Amino acid sequence: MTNGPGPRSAPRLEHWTHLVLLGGTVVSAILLVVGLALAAAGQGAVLHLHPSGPSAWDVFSHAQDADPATIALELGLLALAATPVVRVAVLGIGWSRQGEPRFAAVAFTVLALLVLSVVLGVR
Amino acid sequence: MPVSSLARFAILIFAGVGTGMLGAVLGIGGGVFLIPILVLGLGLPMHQAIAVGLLSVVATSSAVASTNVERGTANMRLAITLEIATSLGAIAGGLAAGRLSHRALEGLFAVVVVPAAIFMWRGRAGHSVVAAGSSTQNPAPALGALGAEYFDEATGTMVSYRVRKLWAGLGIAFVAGGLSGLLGIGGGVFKVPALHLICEVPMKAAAATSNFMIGVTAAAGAFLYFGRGQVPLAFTATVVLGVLAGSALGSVVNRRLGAGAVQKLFAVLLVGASLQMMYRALILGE
Repeated sequence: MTNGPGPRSAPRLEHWTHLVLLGGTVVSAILLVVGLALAAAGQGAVLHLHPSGPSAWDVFSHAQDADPATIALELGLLALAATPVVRVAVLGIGWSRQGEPRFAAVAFTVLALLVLSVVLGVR
Repeated sequence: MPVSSLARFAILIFAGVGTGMLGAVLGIGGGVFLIPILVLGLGLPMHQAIAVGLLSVVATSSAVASTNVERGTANMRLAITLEIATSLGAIAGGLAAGRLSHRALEGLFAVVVVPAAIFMWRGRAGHSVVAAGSSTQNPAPALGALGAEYFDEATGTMVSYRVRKLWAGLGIAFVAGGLSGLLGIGGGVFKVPALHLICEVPMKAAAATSNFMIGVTAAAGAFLYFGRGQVPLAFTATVVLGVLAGSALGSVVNRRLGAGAVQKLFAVLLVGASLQMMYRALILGE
């Protein structure tokens, strides 16, 4: 710890939040690179405009019929979208353990709202 | 004239890099600039462009916030408090999407953004700065439950601040969330001025906190598009990879920029966004 002004070392919860965000983006990036490479290897031109395709849930429910590139890209983008959700859950758990029930309750409320939005979207 | 795949790839990558850099420096997701490039430049259908925009916002937010959280510039307690309002707004916006035209919202956006740009350009005389030197583990009581402090590398000083007018901030966060759900943007163009001008959060902390928040808002909307099969996978993947690269570059640039430069840059971009949205609303009729 420094005596004067200077960069501080990150408290534990901030560090875990940093790891969740960083980990989510890294996992997503790897899957996306793999997916694009598979698509390029299999089809040549990958950036064609086309109408909307099947929903992500349909792709995974019929995974045996989907090509590897599609699955990798879907997984990569879903991992990306899930990263902020996991971040909120980590904050809720972290504040609970730190004895900050007010902020923990706020975090779990936000998590519930996110789950609600997913449910409303699927319906 | 058809755009070749190689040209598309290049446009998408550079658009992503630019979006990521904007996010790192200004605390916005960049969707408000990315979507017109996709629609006007590449002919992507609007609903697919919105999906790309939302996931790009998530990418920008996650990549940049991971650094800001470590540095302490992102105020996590303030962000999670405001996220209740943005999440509610995003849900309300998503449910209302079928009843309001995008044209009406784009015109409203263009009108509302201009006063914010003027205020941002002028800046403020000061903010609620409390004497520095308090422990980051036990912030001084004068900072309040949502106040915080961070080390500003550009000035070499510790900056402490207290959050004011939280209820006004919550109201604007709700509106920003609603617009995110309707237009596919992160809402940072509203949240950053609100945090800085109304809640009196220093500009760098306002940008970092907004960037931290917009990922949650955009993720809520993105799941809806996954469910409808409206995410163009290869397009989105290419833009997202560009965004991640741009975010890394932007984080390096941001450390060396003074708060005043960030503020004025944001004001200029707000005016550009306003003109662009007015063009879409009045001329394109989208």
